[in-house]
Amino acid sequence: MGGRDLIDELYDASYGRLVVQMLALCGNQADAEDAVQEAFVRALLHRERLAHADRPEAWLRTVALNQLRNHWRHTKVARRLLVQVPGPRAGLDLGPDHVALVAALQQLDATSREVVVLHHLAGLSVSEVGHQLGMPEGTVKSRLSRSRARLAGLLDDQHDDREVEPRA
Amino acid sequence: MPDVTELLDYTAQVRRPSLDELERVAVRRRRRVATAATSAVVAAGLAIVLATAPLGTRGASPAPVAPEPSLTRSLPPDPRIPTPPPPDRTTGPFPTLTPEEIRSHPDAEAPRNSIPVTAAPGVAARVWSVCLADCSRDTLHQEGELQEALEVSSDNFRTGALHPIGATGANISHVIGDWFVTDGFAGATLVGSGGESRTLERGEPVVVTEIAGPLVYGVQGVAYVDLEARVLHPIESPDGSLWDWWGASDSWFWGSVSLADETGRWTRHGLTWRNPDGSFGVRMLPIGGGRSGFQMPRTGVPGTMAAIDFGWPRMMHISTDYGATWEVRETPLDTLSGSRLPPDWRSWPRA
Repeated sequence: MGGRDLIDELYDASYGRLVVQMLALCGNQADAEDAVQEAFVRALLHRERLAHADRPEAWLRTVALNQLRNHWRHTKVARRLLVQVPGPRAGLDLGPDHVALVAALQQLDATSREVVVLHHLAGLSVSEVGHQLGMPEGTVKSRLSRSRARLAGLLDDQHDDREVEPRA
Repeated sequence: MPDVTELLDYTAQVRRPSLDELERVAVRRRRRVATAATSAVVAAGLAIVLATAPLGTRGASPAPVAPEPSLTRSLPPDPRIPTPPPPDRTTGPFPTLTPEEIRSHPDAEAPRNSIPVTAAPGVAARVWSVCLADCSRDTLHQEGELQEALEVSSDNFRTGALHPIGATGANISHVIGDWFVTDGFAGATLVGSGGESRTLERGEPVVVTEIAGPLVYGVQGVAYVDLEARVLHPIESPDGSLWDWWGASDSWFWGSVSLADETGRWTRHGLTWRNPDGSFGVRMLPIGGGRSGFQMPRTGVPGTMAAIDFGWPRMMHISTDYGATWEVRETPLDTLSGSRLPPDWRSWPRA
């Protein structure tokens, strides 16, 4: 398999999940959708690569992640190659806590953010995250631990701010 | 504090465009890759990897076949040549212009950059273009909206020959002597400064075990030109593009290259770049197989490129002089996914 059947299945099953993962990474739904759509366009362009991938969704995620990681859309050449899917985008109706969570994630350093997203949202094990990011498992664990603590602190601060705000 | 995994609850809210729409984008992409690459090539002055040795898997190097010259020197723009008025819609359809009509069009854009060939003084190519409508991001996928013609010269454009590129653009690479290859979705063609053109057939992908030439940049990426058989062979790696310009996404044109062994397993990685004179440079680095452990940070400085080897300890191979010299630095962990080369990298310990 490697044609539309595989991609159809992946598209139905993975698109939304990947967008949410990329949203957590970049904090911007439009950029997240662009990155995921770019991944699927590449999949359509290179069906044989996807067909030979052990884990097609991981392949797509890596492509999408690389788009965000490299800030590729800022290059002159790449701008001409942007995915152009017409029509308005529907914004996700994130609750206030989750808006705060996405905002807090953006305050982590990029590596920690990737560790958190790959582990918690993509469901990769610690060793898989380590393999993908090229870091020892111990480092992944410490990054996760520190990131959780940092997120908790950031969200607590925001919670406190919201409570203080009415009095200001 | 909300749990990070709660974000997955929003998965069902994400609205997908139809996959057919993405398929259409992919089709347009196949076309536009050629156009965009042409622009990149011209803007950057990209030319060639020109070497006399054959690809490792290709056997003896064939002697280039010089097609019989049949000179058809191009004339200066003729004001009598009628040029069609621009369409009043951005959707076309757009007329197909001849190379001469493109160059003499009132809206023709003079080539800002040419493709010089260091190995052959006087040999150069440049692209004339005319935009028949808007040519913005929103409309550029309209076929025929942007039309281009290639001018090839062997005497620094005192004379030159115009060649069609096709409505969807083409990649342009120098091959040998005053010969260039244009490769677009309309096909691949060998073109010369005397106006000659020879069609190239598309061949089977080949796996490269050594870097050699002649190589060109084509619709399917870097390709090997078998001049004797007039066949263009795309170069493949077992798990993706052999050449990865996207990985760098930098302010100048450089990227990665990966070599495979006979079984198709990656064995080495390196960097490739465009020199100021338009030629390619290639440097294989002591980074082994396993692409997941290799990344390229953006440098933002022409001539400066770096590859981070995600081994342990993490190492960065960097050159600041177009590959003339290289150094290896022990790299902090937090540069893992940094998309920009940190300004303080010189303070990192030498390996």
